[in-house]
Amino acid sequence: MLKNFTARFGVALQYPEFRRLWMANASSQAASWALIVTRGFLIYHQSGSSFYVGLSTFAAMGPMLVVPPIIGVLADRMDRRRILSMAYLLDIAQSLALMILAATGLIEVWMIIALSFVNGVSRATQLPTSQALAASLVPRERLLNALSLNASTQHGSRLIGPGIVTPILAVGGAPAAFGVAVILYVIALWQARSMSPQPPQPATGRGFIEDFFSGLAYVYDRPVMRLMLVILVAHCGLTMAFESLLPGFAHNRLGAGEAGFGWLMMGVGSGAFIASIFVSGLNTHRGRGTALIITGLLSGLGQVMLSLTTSLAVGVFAAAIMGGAQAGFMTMGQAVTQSIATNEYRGRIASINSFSLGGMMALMNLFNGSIADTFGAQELLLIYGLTFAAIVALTILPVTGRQVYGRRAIPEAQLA
Amino acid sequence: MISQQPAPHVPEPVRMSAGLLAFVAVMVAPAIIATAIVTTAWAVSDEVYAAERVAASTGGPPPVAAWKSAVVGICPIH
Repeated sequence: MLKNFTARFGVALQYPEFRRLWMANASSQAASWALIVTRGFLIYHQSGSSFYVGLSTFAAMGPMLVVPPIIGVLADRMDRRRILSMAYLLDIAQSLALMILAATGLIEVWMIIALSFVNGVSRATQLPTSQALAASLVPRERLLNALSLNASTQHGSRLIGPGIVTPILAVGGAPAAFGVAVILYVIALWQARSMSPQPPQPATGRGFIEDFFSGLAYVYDRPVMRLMLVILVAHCGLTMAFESLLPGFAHNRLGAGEAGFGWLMMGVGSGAFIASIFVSGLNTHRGRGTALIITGLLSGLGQVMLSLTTSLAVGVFAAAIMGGAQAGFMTMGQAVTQSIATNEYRGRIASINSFSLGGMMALMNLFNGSIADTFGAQELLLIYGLTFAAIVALTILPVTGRQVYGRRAIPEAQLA
Repeated sequence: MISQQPAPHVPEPVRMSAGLLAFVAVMVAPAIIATAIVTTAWAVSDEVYAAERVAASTGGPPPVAAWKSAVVGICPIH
């Protein structure tokens, strides 16, 4: 039974190079969540301020808006395995510094925030590099499985990282918890170093900005990839920037306060984890296309369902549908773009995915936070959900849309 | 003797068009605007909060430009 399960859902793991990359990803993602929990605990313990906890999280997330364009170009010029190894080395150094500072009692809040930023730079390096690397380690027909398995480590690590570190934090304190992160990053580095060197791409003779721009032009010249990315940007803006809306929604609509927000987020996370495993079992172009339509519609309609309920139980169920549909749609969308891209552009395509989609989510979260009090979180969730479901329905109509959603084959000219 | 050197890589030429520029704007602008809002809010937040304290003690409007208050109001971490 396990053999059948692995053959269907873990088929990309039969490629040893990808298996090593997946192990490295799983370890580093778990370490990263272990760090988020431990840093949050320590900052709150030292300062008693939720503001500094939020600032630390922002310091870790902020580099996602700046670093990917640079890394995308580097990942198309250098050995991607080497870039990944350097990022893990940086993470070992920063978590080791946290461990020593915590053990000696010298640690202060500003140091934790500064090291959160270093961790953020490293994560912003790892995500596009590992996406580009995964795409070059498995054949095109296994790409969706490979990217889904990578996505499942991202969602699963939200449970596993805190799950490992919380009892250690309770027994051994912050130094021991930071020590766990060091060990997990060492495992990630070891796995990355076990991979064969990936030959760098031939030099283009272009400058840095010109190279990034040529990546965007490459996407623009391929209608299927271009439409897919525009739909993904709309998806991030309309359905994935909900974090600034949910606390107010849980309080005002569900009457459930902070605990309600926590339950909704758990619903989103568990749905995302289940969906990323389900998506990894899709093996045909048409099956993936059908799932892309269904998850796209559910991503919008799940949000509509959430906005209309006043029951916490139904809200958590709707959040799980929403989270699952979002994770599935994003993973399949990124697989569409990476399966079309040639190897010399994959670093930039992955960085455009991180930079443009992350940028839209950040902007809409800022925007939603500032207008939610005026328009109401419930109304915004409803309008955004309906708008995105309509976008999915309308984009099925044109020929390019049917190619995106697997109703027609992608022309060979766009695969070159 | 003919050397077996690999052929030099010729990058795909970029054809500039209004459509390409609009696409680049859609892809790049959100991250740039979000970064600009957060960094501007960080730069002016002390001034806005000082003005709000003055306004609270005097009862008048805060003596600070409206756009600065708006930017700090939008940014959830300032």
